Amino acid sequence: MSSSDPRKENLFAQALLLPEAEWPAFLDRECGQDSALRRRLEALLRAHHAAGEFMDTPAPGPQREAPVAGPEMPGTRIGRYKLLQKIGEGGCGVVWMAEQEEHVRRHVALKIIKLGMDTREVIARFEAERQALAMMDHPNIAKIFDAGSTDTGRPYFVMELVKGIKITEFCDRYNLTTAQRLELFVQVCHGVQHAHQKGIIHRDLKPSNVLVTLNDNVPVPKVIDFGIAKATTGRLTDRTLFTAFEQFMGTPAYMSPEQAELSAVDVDTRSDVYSLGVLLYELLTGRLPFDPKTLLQAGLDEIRRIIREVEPPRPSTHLSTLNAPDLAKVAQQRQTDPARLSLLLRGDLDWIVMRCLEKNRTRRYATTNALAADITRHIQHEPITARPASPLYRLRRFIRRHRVASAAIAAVAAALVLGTVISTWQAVRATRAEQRALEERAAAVAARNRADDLLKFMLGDLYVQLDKVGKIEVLDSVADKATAYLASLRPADQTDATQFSRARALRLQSAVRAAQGRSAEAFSSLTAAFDLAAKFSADHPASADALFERAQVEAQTSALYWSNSDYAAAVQWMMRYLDSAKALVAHDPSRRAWQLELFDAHFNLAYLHKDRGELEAARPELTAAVLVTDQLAASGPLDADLRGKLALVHQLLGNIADLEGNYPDAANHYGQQVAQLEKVLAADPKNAVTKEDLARARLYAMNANWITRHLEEADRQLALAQTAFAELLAVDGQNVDLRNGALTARLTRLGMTAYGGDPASALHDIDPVIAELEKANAHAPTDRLGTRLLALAWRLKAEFQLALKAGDAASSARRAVTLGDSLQGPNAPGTLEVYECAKDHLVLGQVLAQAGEADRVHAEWLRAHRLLAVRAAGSRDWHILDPYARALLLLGRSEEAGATIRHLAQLGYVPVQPWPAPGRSADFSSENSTHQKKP
Amino acid sequence: MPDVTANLNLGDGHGARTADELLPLVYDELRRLAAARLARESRDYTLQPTALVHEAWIRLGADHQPAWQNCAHFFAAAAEAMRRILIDAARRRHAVRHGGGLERVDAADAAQKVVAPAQDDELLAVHDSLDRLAAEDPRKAELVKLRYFAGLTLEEAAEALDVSVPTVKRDWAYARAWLFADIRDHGPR
Repeated sequence: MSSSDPRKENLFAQALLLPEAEWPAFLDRECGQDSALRRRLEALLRAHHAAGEFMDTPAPGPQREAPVAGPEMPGTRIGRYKLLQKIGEGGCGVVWMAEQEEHVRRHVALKIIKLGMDTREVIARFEAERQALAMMDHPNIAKIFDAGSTDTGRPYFVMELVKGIKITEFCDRYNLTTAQRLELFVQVCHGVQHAHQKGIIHRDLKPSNVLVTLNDNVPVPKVIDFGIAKATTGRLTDRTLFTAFEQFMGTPAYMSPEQAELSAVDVDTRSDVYSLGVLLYELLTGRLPFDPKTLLQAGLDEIRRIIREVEPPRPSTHLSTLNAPDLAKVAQQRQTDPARLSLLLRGDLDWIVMRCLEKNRTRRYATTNALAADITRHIQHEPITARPASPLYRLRRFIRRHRVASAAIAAVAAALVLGTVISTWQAVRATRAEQRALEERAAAVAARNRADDLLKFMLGDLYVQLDKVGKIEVLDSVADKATAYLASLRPADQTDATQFSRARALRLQSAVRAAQGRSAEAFSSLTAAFDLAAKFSADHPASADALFERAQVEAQTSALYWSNSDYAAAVQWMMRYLDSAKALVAHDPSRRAWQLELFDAHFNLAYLHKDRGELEAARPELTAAVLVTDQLAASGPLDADLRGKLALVHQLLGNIADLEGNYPDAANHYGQQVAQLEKVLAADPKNAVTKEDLARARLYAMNANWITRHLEEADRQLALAQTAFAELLAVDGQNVDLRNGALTARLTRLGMTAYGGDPASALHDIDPVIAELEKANAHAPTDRLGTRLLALAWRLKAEFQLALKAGDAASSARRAVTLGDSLQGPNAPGTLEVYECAKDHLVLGQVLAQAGEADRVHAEWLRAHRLLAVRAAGSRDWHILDPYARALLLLGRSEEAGATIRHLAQLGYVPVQPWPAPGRSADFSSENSTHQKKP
Repeated sequence: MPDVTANLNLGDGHGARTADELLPLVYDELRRLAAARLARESRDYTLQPTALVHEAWIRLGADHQPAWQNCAHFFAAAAEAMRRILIDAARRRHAVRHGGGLERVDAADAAQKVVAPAQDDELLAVHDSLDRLAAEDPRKAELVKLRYFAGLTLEEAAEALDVSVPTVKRDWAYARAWLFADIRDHGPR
């Protein structure tokens, strides 16, 4: 920079007189070739422009830097009190021993508040509580007598003179044992409880406010300063808030989280419970939950954050972090040795203290008495009421609050996750070896000490482990917490890795929500996941991981549309998935995982087409999928992954054979599917996913065997499926898919019972199934499978009632029809939805015919016919053709019916129920329709 | 303040002294003044520098005090003294905020928090930059001291520096832009 230069200053001053827009021209003109001058001027002008309020206000003046002692001295009279000697001085005031000269002559403690408070307000607040304070009368409380203002206008309080020392100091000086300390502490609780019952909250409980005196050599704790914190921290705003925070709350170590929020209004007796918890902590361990030095060096905001968010170590854990000499001293002051002290604290006392220190006060002891009672129970070796805070609860709070990836907190959280995993595994009776393996794994994670590792663990290994165990609510929790955590990251902390994790977490969250029947929420998570994943893979075109994640989202989106019966959208998304899978294989053709993705894409497309009845479109995709399995089998072992895929191929081949009316083939394929899955499950018996797949395969096999009249095999598969679903549900009761599967099996069983000749017992057993389905339907009315199953249940009930000529078959059938109709509509319904609905109408028609309501019967036949006609042309699917033939027969269109029946017979189809007698199209009578006979 | 007067009288025999030599005197007086005022006031923690400086001027004898050549002479010393007082306080607050060796949270520390950190940051930044400005242009640096640290008005500063008010205005705008640019170039503390 050049030194003082009048020309430069002149130009600067001149430029300031001009509008900003004219500066460049002005500088061009004035500076000419002097580019250095021009640069300098430009910089100054820019600075002038940008300076804003810079230096507009003179520097702040000097401030009070030391507490100023009052003018009081021994002998000074304040009101009716004569000061005798100063007995204490703290952050908030000076305490004098004083002599009361009027009424009664006695010695009192007189506390003069030091700093600039609004004296009138303080006195007014005190007056508001004076009545209550006057009613306090308890041996463990120092009475408050009076309050007023000194001649210099400062507030003072007069209270019972307690000649004692701080409780912590007393305990250490006399080497009180833990039991003796607890006894003293219980007395403190009783004193505080007494005040609470009078409606008085202390708000500033700490050792210096709990003094112990000796009465005939018996130590008596007394709580002092009741009413003072309240009077001196009334309405606080803005600036005064901060000063008051430190003036009167002296040390923040004892302050409850809600007090740290500085909303002084919202403090209740549970804030005192918290402070008592800190005091108990200190009495037991000689340490505070949070290191006071750390706290005070942290700065105001950080102090508040720590108090509000950081989980302190348990007392016994805290002890274990002390160095040997310190620990020895702590133990010796309690007349014991370190090992015994630690053992003494672990368990009950840890829990009691930690329950006082809960951040959320609703989780603390509700009253001081409850706290005292728990301690007494502990002393008397009875079970305490404090229970460990659930690991999930803490995990939840960690995720919500934690914003910075701090090593220490990550380690804590990893430990919490460990807790979650272990409790989950215990819930499913994991073997010891597995537990040990899991503990080792979680310990390894804890050692890694980083939040992103934790996250990976949560979304990766942990998720997979939990998924296998099959506890959907835990999965839900993990996914939600991870999502919330990732969403809460500040932009500065958002890295590629966190974005990636977030996409993943959202996708998993969506899967969980879908499985819980929360369709709309599942969509919203998935949309967010796709946005992130698409952006991520666009930003990292070379990253296979990015592409893989994107592919997963695409596949899942397709599946979600599929389950919502939007087949067009499902196919569209599945095509995208296929493209991504192909790109993955192109990325690294030798990688097995990518080959498996490619299989999934082809297979799912085939399945989707099949589901829409488009077998011609399905076939090439299935062929492509089989090709992938061939390649995999040629290049690698026949492992669980590959067996799983082969099982799927057999399932789809069975489905297609079904649709084509090739029932023996179908039974054969389902048999192979079951066999493959049995092998996979045998290798990994605890895998809930495989178990579920196998249960479903058994349902298919049951169906095919039923149709081909292998009744024993059908019965066996159904029984095995029912057992499997029951076992799965016992672990994962919230899983809608499992529940639907189990209910399908039960309904099938009831149908078999009825068709097997016992409709009475089937009718008897169907009501609980209907009740369960109705409940589920009320909970998730958009779940199409649930709705279809409910319709099926009502229809079966109507059929049973019809067969037995018992009960109100008409209302059962009407309910079935209402439900079945609700599934038809613009979203192309699946074959089964059409089939079931047509059957509903047929049954309602039969019921009406039997009831003699002939005029309304015809409409039902017509409705069934209309539903099926569209799909019947060229179909070989008995689901369509069987009811279609029935509808034609009932409508009196015998020729068309005859052709369809012959077609079915050629396919080897044997109807479970006999064909109805043909009706007459012109003159339809009820007799014609009462065809129903037991099979 | 008898001792101060004695000191000043002592200077009488040696003729006028430079503002720098007088600095400790004014510094002490300002500190004492501030402490006394703060002790009296119960609610306002922050004093106005300009009020202090003016009071100090009166207390130290004002125009009748021969140690001062003139009002400008005094204000130069007072502004520098004020600057040191304020910087010391700001540094203490800064240290407190950043955990520098604070052992106890008490009333003293509470009072330290009254000033917003942003104000302190500005104060400390200006202080640093001011020495560089003084090297280039002492008059403008002097002006900044008077205006910013001693809280003088433009008119008072013009009188103290014995220049016209428009000149002071011009210089102030220039100095302010210079400091702002300089602080930006050198980065915040």
